[in-house]
Amino acid sequence: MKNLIIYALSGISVIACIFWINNSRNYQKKIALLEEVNSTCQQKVNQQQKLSISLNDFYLMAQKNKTLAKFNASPLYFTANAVKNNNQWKISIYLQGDSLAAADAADLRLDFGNNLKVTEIKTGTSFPLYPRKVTGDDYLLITGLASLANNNVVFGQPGKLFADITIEASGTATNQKYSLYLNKSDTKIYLNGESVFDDKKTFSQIVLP
Amino acid sequence: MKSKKLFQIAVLIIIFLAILALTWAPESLKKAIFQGRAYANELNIKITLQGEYDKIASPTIKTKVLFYKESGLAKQFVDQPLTKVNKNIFTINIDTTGLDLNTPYALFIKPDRYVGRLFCAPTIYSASCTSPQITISAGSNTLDLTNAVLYAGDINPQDGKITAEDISKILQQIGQASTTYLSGDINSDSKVESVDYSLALYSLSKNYVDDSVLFGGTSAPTNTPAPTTGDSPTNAPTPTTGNSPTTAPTPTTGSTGGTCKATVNGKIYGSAMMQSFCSPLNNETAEKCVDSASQCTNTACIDQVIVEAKAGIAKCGSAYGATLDEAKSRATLTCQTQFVPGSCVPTPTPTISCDNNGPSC
Repeated sequence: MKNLIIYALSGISVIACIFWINNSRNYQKKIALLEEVNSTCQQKVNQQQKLSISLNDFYLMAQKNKTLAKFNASPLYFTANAVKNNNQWKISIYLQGDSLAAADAADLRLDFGNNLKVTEIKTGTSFPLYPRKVTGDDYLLITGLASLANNNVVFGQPGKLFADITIEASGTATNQKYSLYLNKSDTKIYLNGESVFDDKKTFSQIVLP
Repeated sequence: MKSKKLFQIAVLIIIFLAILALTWAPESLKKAIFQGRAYANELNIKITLQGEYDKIASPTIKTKVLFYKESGLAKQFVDQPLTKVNKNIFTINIDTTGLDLNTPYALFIKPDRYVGRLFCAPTIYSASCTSPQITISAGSNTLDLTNAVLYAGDINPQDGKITAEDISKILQQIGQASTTYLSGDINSDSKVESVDYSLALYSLSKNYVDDSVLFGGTSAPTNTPAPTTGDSPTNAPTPTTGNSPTTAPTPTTGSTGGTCKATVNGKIYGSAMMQSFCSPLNNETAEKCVDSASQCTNTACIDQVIVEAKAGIAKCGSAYGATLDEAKSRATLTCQTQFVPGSCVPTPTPTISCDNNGPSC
């Protein structure tokens, strides 16, 4: 009988322990849930605080929109003119299009064979900023951008020189014909996040005279 | 009889105390006891991002992490959250369960709106990363990759380079604020500002692009050599020049770039079952669609030959422990490439045949 009581008591204490553990776990879950709710609330408060744009950026946005209103999102394209000068060629690339067209960013990539070498790239005036002028063994890449200096937004405009490129042949062959090819996938002209590049009017190849 | 009762009470007290102890034990100890070591198979990677994150409480940036073996892509993790540690140091926690612990890996890490970087070791990355060297052990691992900064600006499309399109899209969004995703919000502070523009402009001016992964047939492998296996194990597998060989070039896109035509000569050396083998490449020709002439270089062609030779050996010679002698093979390989601009029709990818007995040197 005494044994029975002991076993019953032990059984009850084990069950009590299990209940107690479960309760403590539930309590932990409740705490975790409350912490989560608190964290979510804090995040929302943070987000509300985050959403305030600085006065400077607000002014910049207004200036950009004001400048954009003066232009049309008309297509723009590149034209090229090559002139031979002794053993070198000077290629002038122009940004062309409607006089009310504009661009805020443009990439121009030309590919050529290993037998040509770029000796100089002079940036033009169609864009106020040229942050990238890259030449590889067989390509060149020029990027023109709008300027945001002093919150004064200046877009790239057509009818002006994009770049002057000087190239010379690295081989000795005299009668060989040389060409540069427009890389259409890496050549882009953009305005306000939209492409304004007219690839049909842009040259696909520059044959050097 | 009395001692028996005392014993029973003592057992009960011990059980009770044990349960009590478990209840108060830390969560990590409980997991260790009940779930064993498997729970802790993780890799904690530390990286440095370009930008100032000091004043941003909890930037929500996700990243892609690709694990490469010598033979190619082993596992990829997308949308892994980055956790800010301090300033511009972030950590990524990866569950490494299922990764081979005896294999060295290279990690390609590309956070959202950032340019991807390839790491072979903490101090070996980008162009220097030619062979995977990162090993993962069982349990918890840490990997400090903060030696190299990851640069921002590849926003939309995330094509591995920073273009006029990316910059224009940031400009278009400047001044916008939203709790929803803004592609131009590089530093994840829920607003697009001039600082986001500056970050992208810096990376563009440096012409940063995604790192290329050159090992393991990961750079668009296609035409592959068909290593012969032979019936007896003593016959070392020999990569043959069978159907349109090693050179290469993979049909990639029907792009506006052009066609890269290549003629390859040289020898592919390797070893299997303690024997060396050699397979000649005699004026093997192949074509590949490329985006630009810059992708059609002799070096790129030789790289492609090596990649495909490895893929062929991996498929047909792995049972014999076959390996490519890359240095010896490279020394003999020559490629003559010709870029033909204009539309390119991709050629179908030949399958690797392992029962094609090709010539030997």
